[in-house]
Amino acid sequence: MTGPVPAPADVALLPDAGPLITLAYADALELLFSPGWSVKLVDMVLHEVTRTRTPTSEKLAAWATRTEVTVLPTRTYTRYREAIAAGADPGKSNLGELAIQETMNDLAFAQPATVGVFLFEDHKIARASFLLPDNCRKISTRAYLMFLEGKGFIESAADIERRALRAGREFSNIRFPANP
Amino acid sequence: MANTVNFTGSVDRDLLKRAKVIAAKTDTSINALFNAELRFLVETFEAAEGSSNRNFGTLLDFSLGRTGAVEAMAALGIDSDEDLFLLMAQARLPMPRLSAGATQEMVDALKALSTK
Repeated sequence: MTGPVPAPADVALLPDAGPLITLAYADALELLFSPGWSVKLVDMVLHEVTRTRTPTSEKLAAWATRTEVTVLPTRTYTRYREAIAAGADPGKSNLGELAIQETMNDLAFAQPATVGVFLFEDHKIARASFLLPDNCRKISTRAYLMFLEGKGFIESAADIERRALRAGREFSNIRFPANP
Repeated sequence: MANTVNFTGSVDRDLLKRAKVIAAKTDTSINALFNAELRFLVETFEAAEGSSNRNFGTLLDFSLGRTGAVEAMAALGIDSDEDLFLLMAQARLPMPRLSAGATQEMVDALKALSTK
């Protein structure tokens, strides 16, 4: 997939729940804006990371509001809410993936043409089967951080990952205290 | 060290490089670090198994890429990516990782989108 480099305004970065959580723990959400691309959130993804109170849920909700990040509506999330309102249990498995696939499909026909950079954690790239339109890219958080390091936006990709892990270990003992 | 055997394995080049730095900083050897970490893994697994707790096995399967996040979360009785991340951190298991080659391909794909 080679061709002219798109203008920054024609590239959209769309993080999944995993990268948002990792970057929130690393206190590095601002890195999503470093390349100068627009940052967009899929509504179902935003719901997933804010629906229950967790160490990062309030931080992510506040970040999304403060940065006025665009939230893309999906039929998946609309139907999910309708089901909840009707008292049904729509389950949650794979709804995020379905909403992301829907967003990828919409981007395939977007005018003006937009390149969608979808950020995932490694395990989702390895296992989730998205039908990827030509103008969309599946990128891991690690690859994104290495890209930022290569461009000089950050000193060390590994350091950001270490920060997330350190904070995760700290919070995990609060959220999941060991049995006495 | 009594009752030791030699064996052959392979390890990620960058990981070994970083391990060598740790070994040097802590005045120990890669061999000692490897043994300590392997012992932690084995003893944690056995302790969990001994108390009929399948959770560590589930997390290990996820870490090794043998099971997906959705299946792991169902087995653990959790329903968020964040809780899975936290449990992995608590268990001191690494999140599943793509190969260095696959990651580099993604870095290159990003470079192709940027002139900065």
